Amino acid sequence: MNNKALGLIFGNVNEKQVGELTVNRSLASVPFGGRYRLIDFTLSNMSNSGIYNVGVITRSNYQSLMQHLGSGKSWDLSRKIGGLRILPPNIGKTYNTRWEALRYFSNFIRNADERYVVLADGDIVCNFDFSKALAYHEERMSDITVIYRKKDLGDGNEKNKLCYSLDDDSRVVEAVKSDKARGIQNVSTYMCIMGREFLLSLLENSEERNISSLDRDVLCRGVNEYRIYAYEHTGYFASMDSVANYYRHSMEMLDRNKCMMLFDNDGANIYTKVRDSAPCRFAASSSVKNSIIADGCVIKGRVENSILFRGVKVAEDAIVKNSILFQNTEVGDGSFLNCVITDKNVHILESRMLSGHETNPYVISKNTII
Amino acid sequence: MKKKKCIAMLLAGGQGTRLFSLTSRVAKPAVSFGSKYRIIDFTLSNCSNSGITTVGVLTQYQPLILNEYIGGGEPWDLDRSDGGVHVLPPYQAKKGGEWYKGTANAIYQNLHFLEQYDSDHVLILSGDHIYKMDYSDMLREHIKTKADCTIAVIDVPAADASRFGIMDYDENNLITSFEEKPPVPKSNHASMGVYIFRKDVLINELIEDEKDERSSNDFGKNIIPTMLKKGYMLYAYEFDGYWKDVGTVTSLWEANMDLLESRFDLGDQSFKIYSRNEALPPCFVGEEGEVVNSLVTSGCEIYGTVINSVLSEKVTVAKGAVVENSIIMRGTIIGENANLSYAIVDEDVTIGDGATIGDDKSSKNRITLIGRDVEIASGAQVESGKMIDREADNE
Repeated sequence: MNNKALGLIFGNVNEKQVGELTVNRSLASVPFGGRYRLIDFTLSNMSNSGIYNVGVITRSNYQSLMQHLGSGKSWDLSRKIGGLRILPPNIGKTYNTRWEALRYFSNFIRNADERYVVLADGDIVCNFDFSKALAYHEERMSDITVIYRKKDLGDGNEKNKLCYSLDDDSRVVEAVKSDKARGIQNVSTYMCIMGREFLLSLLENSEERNISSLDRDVLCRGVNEYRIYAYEHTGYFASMDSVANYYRHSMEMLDRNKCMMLFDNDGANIYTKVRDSAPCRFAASSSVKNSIIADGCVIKGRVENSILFRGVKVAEDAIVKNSILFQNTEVGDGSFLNCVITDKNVHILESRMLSGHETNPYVISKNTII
Repeated sequence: MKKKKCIAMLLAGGQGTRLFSLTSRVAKPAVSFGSKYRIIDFTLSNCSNSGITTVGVLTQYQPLILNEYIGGGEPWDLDRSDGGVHVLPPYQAKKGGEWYKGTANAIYQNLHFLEQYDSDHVLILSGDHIYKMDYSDMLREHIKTKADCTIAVIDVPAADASRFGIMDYDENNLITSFEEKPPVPKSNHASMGVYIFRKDVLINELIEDEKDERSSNDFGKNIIPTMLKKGYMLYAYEFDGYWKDVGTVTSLWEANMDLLESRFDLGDQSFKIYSRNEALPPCFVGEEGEVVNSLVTSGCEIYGTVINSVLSEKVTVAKGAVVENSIIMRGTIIGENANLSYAIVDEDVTIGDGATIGDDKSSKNRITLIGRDVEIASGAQVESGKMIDREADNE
């Protein structure tokens, strides 16, 4: 029996929320964790789970994403059968919601021969084994399996997330938006599994059934009509819904327990494009504390509680604190940075003082010279 | 098949006995170097950066790790549908088979590989030197001078000259004499072990050499001197970049340290050195970590102190540990409060908490060597200059 799955990744969702970082790129290609792009996590999870036919749905600003993905080789997704496909819109008609995108590419889904489809957003940071969830999906004979995690929503300031109520058998009995939810909830991870034929029949009958949103019209409205089961993800999880959250989740990588959970899950590695940078060079004058430093960096100054991507240069007497410096950022002699996010190729000249705040980090856009 | 100007044959079978335990289970070209590389990465990257995309790698001694490392050649962009990198171990043929007797014999046994490609020239390389060189410049000279053979030459300190093939050449770079490892060197012009031959001449000379029973079938000892005697045109190609033979423990240590002193730049974007890397997160330096004048790479976790050292992938230095003037290869774990000075520690070693490697006599001429997979007990003391290998490997 064919029990393989087709992977579909939404590359452009939620990007208005992290506006400054997605001016020149899709959300899926936003850098994360010193050497990765957000999409590396979902692509690696799929590849590690034996999902070798993967479509990445893009809509706009996808040049950097395409450059990053290349042939898919880095994720073992350069395949004779299946492999990585980038799915951009044609000129003219395009799509906005996930459901519109699925309808737009229904031929791609129809032409696949996998029995299941795994849907995931492109901004998810986690190390997840889809093969276990697929086995669970099969065992329950579900129409849809949603992957959720337990999360304390506190006083209910989380917007726009789906929360599930489950029966004793983990079947979803109610799905509601999180706007009014309080306390510990079963929150959507924006990863789910469906039968391919099932998904196609919904897509084909979208109009009769009045379906235009995956969340609202399929998951929320369909709980009685379809067999929707829930599967829990217990490891580290993050998705990027604001710059402040991006900053907070990035800094979580300095917590070794969280970092290990993400990068060392039973030998399932996270892959990324190889750049062949030289090793990181710590000069005699350097002082580095509690930081992630990627290859190709040259550190002569002081770095604390920060994440430095590949090829970052910190000059002597420069101080970098609580900051995230993207690829090839250069910090000049005597400059001071605190709670700053510099995009690629930012050049901070000598003796500059720049500071943001944890809740509102100072984002400096690509190629800026300050 | 499309005609190629030049194909390369890379000699990677050397045992490297002067590296002791470092080569007890791997061939010398597969020894770790410079944090994220193996020695052979430099020659393979040179080929790739010089546009030479057909490379035969001749292996013999302990080839397993080397074979796996080279794989399909993808990291060096040498996975090609026409040519690419091929590992060539000794094999059994109809007329019998035998081990490679010498460098020239290794090529002789693979003449069929040379003949398979339509190329005018053959580049002969050895896989145990650290340098960056654009072979296409040398090839251009070789073609321009219409040489039968061109030998890359570098001037070495006079004291070292007797370790190399030493030559003399005139103002047109025409070689007038060549002596392999002469006890009394006439000059300090040393052969780098990089030769470009006209293919027809090479094949002819290899066949002739094979007929001579007294020959040790070696390029430096036999092929080159014989060709000079026969009146072939051999030219020297002067190279003035960084070049280091890493055949001894001290020279391996020095070459690593040269990276810290910026004598050799790995960061040049226009001439990258490629390597096969595992997918690992970037290095992490902890709250109490201290890293000074050192090279560190992906997968490392530093909670202790690292000074003047080169650390490969996935090395952990625990709290309170001090690593000084040392080379630590991949996967090694240094326990809490351990102390290392002038040590070369091979892959996957565990140094127990509070262990001391080296003593006040430690220096670059008294390096302590810890072999692959060795476990050093907590609190153990290993004196300077000692070499520790797994017992099983000494049998």
